[in-house]
Amino acid sequence: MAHIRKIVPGFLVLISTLFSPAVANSDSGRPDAGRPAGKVYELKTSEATLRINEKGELGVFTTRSGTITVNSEIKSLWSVVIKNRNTGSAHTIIEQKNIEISQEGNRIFLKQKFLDLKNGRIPIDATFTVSIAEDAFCFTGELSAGSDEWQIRELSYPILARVSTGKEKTTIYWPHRGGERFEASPAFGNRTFEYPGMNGSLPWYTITTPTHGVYLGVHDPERGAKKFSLQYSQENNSFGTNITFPVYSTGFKVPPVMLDVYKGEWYTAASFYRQWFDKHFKFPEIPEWLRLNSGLMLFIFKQQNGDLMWKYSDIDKLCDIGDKLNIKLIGIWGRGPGGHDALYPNYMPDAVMGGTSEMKKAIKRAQERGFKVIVYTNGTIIDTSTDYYRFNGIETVALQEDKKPLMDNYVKNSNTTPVNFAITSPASPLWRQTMIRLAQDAYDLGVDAFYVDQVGVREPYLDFNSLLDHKLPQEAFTKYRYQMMDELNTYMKNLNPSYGLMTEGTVDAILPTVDIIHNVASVNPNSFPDMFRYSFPESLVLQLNSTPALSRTMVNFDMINGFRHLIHSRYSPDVKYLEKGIIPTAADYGELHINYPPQLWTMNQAAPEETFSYAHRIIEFENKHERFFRKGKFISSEGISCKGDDVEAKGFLSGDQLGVVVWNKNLQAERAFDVTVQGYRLTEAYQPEKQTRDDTKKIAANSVKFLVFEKVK
Amino acid sequence: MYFYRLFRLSVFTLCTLLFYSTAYGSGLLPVNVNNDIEIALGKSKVVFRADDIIKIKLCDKYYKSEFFVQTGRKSDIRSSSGQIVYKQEIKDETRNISVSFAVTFEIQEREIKAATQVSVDSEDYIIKEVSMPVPEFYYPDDALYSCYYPSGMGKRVDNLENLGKVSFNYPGDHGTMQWCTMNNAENGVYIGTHDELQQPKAFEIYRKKKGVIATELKMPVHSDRFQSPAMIVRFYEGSWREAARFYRTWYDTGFRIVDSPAWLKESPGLMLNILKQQNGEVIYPFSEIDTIMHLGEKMGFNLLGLWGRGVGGHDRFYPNYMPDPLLGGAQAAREAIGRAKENDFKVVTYINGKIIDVSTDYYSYYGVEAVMLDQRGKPYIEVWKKYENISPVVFAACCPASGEWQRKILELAKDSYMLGADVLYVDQVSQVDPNVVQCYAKHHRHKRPCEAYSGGRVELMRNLRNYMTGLDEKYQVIITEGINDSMLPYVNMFQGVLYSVHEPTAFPELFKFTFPEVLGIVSNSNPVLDRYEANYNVVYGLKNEIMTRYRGDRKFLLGGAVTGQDYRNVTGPPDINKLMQIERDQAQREVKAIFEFVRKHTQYLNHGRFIDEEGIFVKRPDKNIVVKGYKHNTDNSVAVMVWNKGSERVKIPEIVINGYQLKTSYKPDGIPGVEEGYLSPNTIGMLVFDSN
Repeated sequence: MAHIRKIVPGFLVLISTLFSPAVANSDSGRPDAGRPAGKVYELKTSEATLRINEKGELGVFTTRSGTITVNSEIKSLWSVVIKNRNTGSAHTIIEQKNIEISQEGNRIFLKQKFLDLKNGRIPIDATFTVSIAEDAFCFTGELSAGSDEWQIRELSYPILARVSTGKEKTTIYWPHRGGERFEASPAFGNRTFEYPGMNGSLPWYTITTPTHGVYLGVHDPERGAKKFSLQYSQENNSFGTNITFPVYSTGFKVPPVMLDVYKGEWYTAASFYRQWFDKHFKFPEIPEWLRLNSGLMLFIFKQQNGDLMWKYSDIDKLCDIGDKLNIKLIGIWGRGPGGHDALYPNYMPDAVMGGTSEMKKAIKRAQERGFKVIVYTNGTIIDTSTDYYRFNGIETVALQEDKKPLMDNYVKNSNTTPVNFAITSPASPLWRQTMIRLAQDAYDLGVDAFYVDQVGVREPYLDFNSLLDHKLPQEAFTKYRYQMMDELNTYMKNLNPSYGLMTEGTVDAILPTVDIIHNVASVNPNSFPDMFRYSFPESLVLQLNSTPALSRTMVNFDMINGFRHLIHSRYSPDVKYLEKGIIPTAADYGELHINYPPQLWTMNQAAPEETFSYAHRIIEFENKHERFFRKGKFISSEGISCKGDDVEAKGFLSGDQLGVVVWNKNLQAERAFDVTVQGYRLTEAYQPEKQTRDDTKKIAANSVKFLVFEKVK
Repeated sequence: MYFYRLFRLSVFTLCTLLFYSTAYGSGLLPVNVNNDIEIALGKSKVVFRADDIIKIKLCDKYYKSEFFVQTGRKSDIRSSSGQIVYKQEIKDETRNISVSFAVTFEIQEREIKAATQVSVDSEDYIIKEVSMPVPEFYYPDDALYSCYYPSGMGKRVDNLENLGKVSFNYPGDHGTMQWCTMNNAENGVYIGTHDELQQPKAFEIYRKKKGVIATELKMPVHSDRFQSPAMIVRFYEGSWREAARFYRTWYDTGFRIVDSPAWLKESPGLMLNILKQQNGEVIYPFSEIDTIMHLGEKMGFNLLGLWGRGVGGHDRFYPNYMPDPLLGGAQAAREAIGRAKENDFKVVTYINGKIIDVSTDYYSYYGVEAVMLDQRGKPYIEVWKKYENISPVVFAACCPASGEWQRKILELAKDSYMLGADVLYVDQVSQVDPNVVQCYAKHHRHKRPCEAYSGGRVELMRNLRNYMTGLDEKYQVIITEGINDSMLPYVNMFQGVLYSVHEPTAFPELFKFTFPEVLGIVSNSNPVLDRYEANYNVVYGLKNEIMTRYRGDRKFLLGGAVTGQDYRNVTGPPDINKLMQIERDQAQREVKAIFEFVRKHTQYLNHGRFIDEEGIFVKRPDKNIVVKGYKHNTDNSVAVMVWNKGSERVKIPEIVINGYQLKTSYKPDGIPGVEEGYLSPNTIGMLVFDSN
């Protein structure tokens, strides 16, 4: 086997610069384009070629057609932040020297023995590799500092200076809060996301042209912390990108970073990731009642400022509201003496609301009426004014490097003293035990499900609390977050296999340990929930809707994306809306000094009875067609041709049948549409609102139709 | 006869003045073809560029977005006798905003006064910040200029070629006055604002290119109208002290520095004792006041600080300071203070003027009235964690412009008075930078967020002073942490004016020369003071401090030997190596001798006037010799303090003061190794000069 060694940059680089023909045209993306074949290092996938030329330039390009290119330089393919433990001085080394390149078969090695500082050099043992895996380019490697004197704090690798799509139409798919799509590169600008966390729901993103795409993802079975950066440069119409890993140790093994240039649409990227995910992780057994459940009615019984809106005995009224909406899961939030968002982790039933005994009776009564009940806890914060914080805080909270706690607060009323919370660390055994105790407390009240707020929300904070289980600061909100949820879910399922676990924040890393997720993405022009939903169609996700009204628009949005429905009753005017059908005004919330009232349009869009009724009918339709909406596989718009202004169509697979929801998003005008699916034929068409069969030509304003197709055999 | 004179004028300057006065008189103004304004002194000049005349930042009324107004290059420029006005009206059709501004330059002799007026007409946007015209100082290659700026007691960058970027935000710990200067000992340029409202402003001094230093000045606004104070750029001759005197002259037209009682001026400093720590550990119960007095007497301190007297100890449960029963309760506290006073000690008690513990009832019930809210409506959180093994204690910062917080501070002042304290210590108040810490609560007394820690802070401290003296005219001494000149009319003494005497860029002369009567304590978080520190404080006219914060400190003071084990779990221990190495009893004796020396020469060193080195000529000084002068309180004599801060003995250099003659010299008693005509390592001496 050929074993080629070379040092760049060095005198050979100089020679090659002096005597080589013209330098590569950077636009082409091929580092040696136009020059005679020389000593290059090359890897090939079925779609693309990766080449490192004599000058140490790395290029990736589509081998046959397509315009995607990726370019970088070996000397700046990684950067390292190191800190001297004795002096405290930190250095960022962005340009590397003395790199030895070699290749063995389908693996290129990049070796480095020193990091050069301004005033000297540090011995380091680094071997980065580029290879072929899963028909993609795989960047991985290992590095360790030469002595304990040096701590490696961060590694960025690979740093790809230019990702270009040429002049093709470019779309960026970005996993912020379940997914976002940008159809213009300038609008994307510069963004980062940290995985795992709500703002980095998946450890990959993709950029596509009409025919190809480039995928950058980390296939890390440890689900460790990492930060993706993507910056658009208008100047050369290309992106710079890199992935940064926290290290905080003397050594680090880079998990496989996959760069895949593929043919096809973004679904290819999602499927590529999902195939890898399935090799390492398994979905839990989700209780059947939860899979069939249509959504959640979240009721705050008592607010942070002490405003008491419901007593436990009012549960019958909540059941009545549930009957009107066709939602069968009642969420009891703010049940403790502090109300919602005060005095956590104290959730003991409040005597003012009726106490423990009254609460148990109320839950039982709701269950007798066919409802399920879920109660709230917060899995990430504790109120710093509590005894729990005072006496156990040091053993439970996450600390920053300066040993100060990570703080958070939720100021709900402008005339109330802000409540201050410290963020807890999943690496605390006491905190994990506290969560289990709270799950047991809730179970003893007779509930069907347990809500643990914010666990999926949090980014992978660095936790420097040395009294806890973790060895490295980045492990607290990765390894130990999974452990906490795993221990909790296991405990709950041992109590009762149908005891459901829900948390907030869409992130795939927690899917193996929770039953249902509360998504917190607001609906905006860049929202693209399909990214997560397509990747994990079997996951149960509630869509954020922080208003008491399940508006027509929101019901349709939920339906087409396969979300479970949600309403929030948080303030007194919300209660009046739900109980008496009184539409609140801005003044109603203003008088109560409420900082974040619901969006009034959601209640103004239609009369309350009509809003309730529409939601009821759509949910009834979904329940009736549960094989698509509760148990089907969401496929987004893959293979579906949808014609018509303002109209969108997404599908749910069930065996050989494909159910397609068609939504006219125009709020005023009826629209014509034409939906076909390659390899399928239309068998039925419904108007869910009226529960009747319907035509497939026109669709009313802000309405949905449901088409059933059958696979052509 | 004055010891120095204001603005001595050279022949060259007179010629320059003649030229300018003729030019202004004829309506000719120093504006070039680019509409830049330029004035010069010798080879140096200051230029205001027409394309850098103003920067206006707008924000929406909900503080969610902000942007700079595109002002363009072409202003409408009008000039009249000695005045140039740049005006523009800008319309932003997309956002439906109309902005107008006028920048006025008054040009007199060697001075330019610039003022800015901005208004915005919009339903959605207000002015967030305005940057004043940027003076660019061109200095000649062959002259070595230094930059002097008022961060803390002052800082100096010795050569402008070494200056990258420095900044100071007024009024706060890192912007203690509203001026700076570039000076080469012969002449300089003064840049400052004479703003009697003492509004927040951020100065940034940076090197624009070789030979050019620019000074940017930004002011927070938060309104739809803005009228800036005058920014003054002035050439002067002489040392940087001329600039200091120029500022002080203006200051005295609007403010009067509080007069402190003689005992405070003469006090060597503060002996700070934490009675109970944040983790509940008791260091001294009230009954041990005799122990504290004994230690104070041994070291020469007569001002005893009783910190951590409340149930929560130091840094917990604020604003609850009721005497802890565990320490003996209120009666024991009163008795202890009484006993100290009977023994000629003065007692200062602690309150925090800024933060409250969020776990207290006070926070729950009054927090919404008292605390500052940031732009997002959230409190400013501050965390203090003194031990590794306790939960961090979380505080919220209060707004000095809150009526409730002002009421609470007065109540706490009365509580201290009822305990018998002579002095009230109000922690952290003077430190805060109102350019950064701004309060967006709508129900406080400030109209704009940036007024909380500017006008609001002044009001709080003025009300406190009036209230205290109203209780008892002898109850008049306030100490706070940090220093800035907006506090001088209300606060007697400032703690933490320096956090170390070894700070290399510190130039305490700057503030001390400008405000020689101000009393400042150099922070020292050790239970012992060494001779070097005491000498430094004598020479620079600063006060001393020792702190007893932990059980280990107490053990050290009571004669024990301490190791790291005595401070296990303490996050910010004293300098343990120092405590292990120092000859404690000897250090205490030497420091006491230095205090005695100061007391003996109190008319110079406590009641006299710090004149730095002005008029003092030192022949061939050794690099380790520090010379500072003090004028006598009642006669014209001058005492020159000479300190050999090095580790080798040096000959006392020849020192001359024109019009004066050396009368006598003194050295502290009891300092070993003192030789006639020489200064031993780390020793001080005093040379007294009488006027001829």
